[in-house]
Amino acid sequence: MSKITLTINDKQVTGQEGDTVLDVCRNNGIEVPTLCHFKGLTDIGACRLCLVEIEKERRPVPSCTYPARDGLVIRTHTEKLETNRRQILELMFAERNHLCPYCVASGDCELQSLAYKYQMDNVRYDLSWPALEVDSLHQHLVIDHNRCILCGRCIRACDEIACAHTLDFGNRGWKDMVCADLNQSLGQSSCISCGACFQVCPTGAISAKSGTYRGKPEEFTGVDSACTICGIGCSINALVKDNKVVRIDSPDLASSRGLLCYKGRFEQIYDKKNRITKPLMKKDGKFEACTLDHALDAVAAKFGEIRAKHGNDSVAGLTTSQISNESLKAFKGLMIETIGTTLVDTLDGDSFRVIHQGITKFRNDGKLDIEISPEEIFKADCVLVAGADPLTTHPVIGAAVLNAYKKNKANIIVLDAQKNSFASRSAVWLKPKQGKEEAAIKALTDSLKKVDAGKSGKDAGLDAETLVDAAKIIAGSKNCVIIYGEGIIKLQNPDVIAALLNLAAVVGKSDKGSLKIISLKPQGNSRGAWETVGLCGMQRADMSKVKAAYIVFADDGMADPKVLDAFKKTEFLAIQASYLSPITERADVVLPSPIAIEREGTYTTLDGKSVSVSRLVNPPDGTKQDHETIREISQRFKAR
Amino acid sequence: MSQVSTDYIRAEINKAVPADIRQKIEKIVEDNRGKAGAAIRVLQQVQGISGYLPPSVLQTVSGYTKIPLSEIYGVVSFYSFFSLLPKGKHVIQVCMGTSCYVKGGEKIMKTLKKDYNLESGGITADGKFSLEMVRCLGCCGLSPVIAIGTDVHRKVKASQLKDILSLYK
Ligand code: SF4
Ligand code: SF4
Ligand code: FES
Repeated sequence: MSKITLTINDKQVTGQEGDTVLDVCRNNGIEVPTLCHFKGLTDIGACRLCLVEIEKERRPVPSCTYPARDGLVIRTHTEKLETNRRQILELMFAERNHLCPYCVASGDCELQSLAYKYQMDNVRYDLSWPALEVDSLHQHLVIDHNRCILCGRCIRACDEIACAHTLDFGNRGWKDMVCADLNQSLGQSSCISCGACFQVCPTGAISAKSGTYRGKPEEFTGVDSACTICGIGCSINALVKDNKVVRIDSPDLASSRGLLCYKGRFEQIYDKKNRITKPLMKKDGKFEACTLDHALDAVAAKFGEIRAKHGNDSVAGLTTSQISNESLKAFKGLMIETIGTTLVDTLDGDSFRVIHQGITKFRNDGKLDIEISPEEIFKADCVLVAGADPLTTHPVIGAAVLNAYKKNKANIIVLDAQKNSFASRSAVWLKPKQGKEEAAIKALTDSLKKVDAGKSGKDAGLDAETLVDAAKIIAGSKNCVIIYGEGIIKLQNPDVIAALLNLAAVVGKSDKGSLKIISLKPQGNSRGAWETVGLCGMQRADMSKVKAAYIVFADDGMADPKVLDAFKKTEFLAIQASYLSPITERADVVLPSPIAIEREGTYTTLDGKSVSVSRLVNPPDGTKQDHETIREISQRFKAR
Repeated sequence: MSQVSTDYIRAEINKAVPADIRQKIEKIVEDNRGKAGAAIRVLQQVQGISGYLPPSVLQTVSGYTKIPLSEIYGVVSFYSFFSLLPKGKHVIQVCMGTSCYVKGGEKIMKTLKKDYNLESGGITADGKFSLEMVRCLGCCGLSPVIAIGTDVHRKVKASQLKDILSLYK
């Protein structure tokens, strides 16, 4: 890229070819006001605040869309431009209801800041007082059209970053409005709840239900970390005040991995009830709070006693896959090295085993590195989604599929007995009869190999035509990625997974190295947990002889009380958890555990990368990181 | 297009589109692929199938064309030619251009509302008439003007509406 020289406000400045005039100004410390511009989104020149005067141009031009050229002579702050800017602001204030003291964004609003900057202490036009809707049916977002300045940032973010294109301008003309789908409520639309629109909105028009009215930006501290909820490991930036998370943003929204989802951005912020803040011990059927020392000693003593009486395998350990690798290692250390049991497992162990066995059937080693990174989806021209609904379970991966759909015109093929969120966008929906997924996968593989697929197709309940359509699309693609998830995993049949891997090999005409396939693992650190603990508990053992168990639930929202059924005959149950629940009810000792936003350490993403996680807020007093609590038990056990 | 309620869209959008209509839509989309202004042509031809654009049909169009629903709404809501609501057997257009407005266009609208419960964008219960407000029919000298189907009625008084409408069976 070659260097160019321009004159701005009588000073020589340099820029790069390809820059806009606005880029050059900003890179040289010249502050030109903008509203519709957002770094990384396509500029549209809508708000006219960034107008500058350029010699030989008859009228002022928007600097955000004007390509910088060598030799341009530019003025950015003439009296005329500044008067215009003030007038534009006044018109914006007159157009809708911008009554700052009653707005969620007051103090954190680009329109308000500019009005202050331009000392706009009155509006010379009659206010038009439109009575526009406030749409609050969405679970996390509120759109107040009365505050909207029609800058279109949300629309471009929804289209270019989320690739959902749920939002667009409708009713063009003086009734122009940001509309979702067919002017529906956002909560009833195709919105994927990523919150990108909220992050880019310069005013109070789009706000999040979590974290409103918590103060001004200067009162917040920013914490950079990674999200631990689903295993994708997105980078996040949290704003924190008084040990409370006010909001979570993406640190670089417009980058290729900048999108967040509703779980990472909104859900983990909400306070939940019944938090466990003190260790509890059961006495005569009732819980009593006690000191941590007391509880830890009791757990170590009881495990020692039971092991001495009944042997190593009388003690079992079970852990969630939401905790950090450090905590998982500490858990493994306690159970296997210190206590010496062989009975350890993760709560999502069944998922691991079936995937592991599937891979083993396919190529003998069972290694998860057969899979590729979700990054590949951005390059795909065809995506086969089998028994998964990524827009719900792993929305950032779902959005990557939408990205491929939009930017690469990728075809989406759904193979699922259930309807999934891609339904209306999919080119083909292969809908096998419930439980006939394996036959469906085989039929598709055969069609691709041009082998007669009639029999397995029929067996799966697929019609020949749909099968041919799907095979044609896949055969015509250059870069087909296969994504599978819960719907396949829950079948608990390794043959189905082996069949999918085989399909991936046929599709990719690849050997048995890495295949363009991704499994959506159920938990935030499933891969880390499977690689540390999962491999030790290669099958869910018979727990009927177990006399004592140590279970780390933390804040695992998916944990089903039924997992405790295996421990009906245990004499002693120690549970480490964040919330009181029917699960903790069964414990003899309850130890407090931090929740997601309070945890720190390293996590392994679903494609095997390590990300480091900082705590966004401190756990309640007395609640330690999970690995600290677990190590304490180990130490006490050894010191008995 | 006149404004349509969210409830209506919500109730209509997931209705099943009959297979024959799906096929027709698919053909229209294929025929227009790659042509300039394809979206508008497609919508225009699809509206020709049943006289209006039911939300469920727009969903189908979006699926075949890969044009997002919100973008389709942007187009449909811009041109008064398009309608998300069914049209009556006879479409009444009342001119609200300056001249017609001054000379009684508004009174005509009020009467239609009072006597036939017809509002702009609405349809009578029996499906016989639907009503549209239009900007100028280009016959300002004959104002106020209304058009029913292809017939233009000039210098219409609100009191004559009953007689005029009775001409349409
Ligand atoms: S939350 Fe995401 S998908 Fe929903 S409207 Fe906003 S940008 Fe679009
Ligand atoms: S809602 Fe916000 S981002 Fe969207 S157009 Fe209005 S002011 Fe701009
Ligand atoms: S920032 Fe350039 S026109 Fe809005």
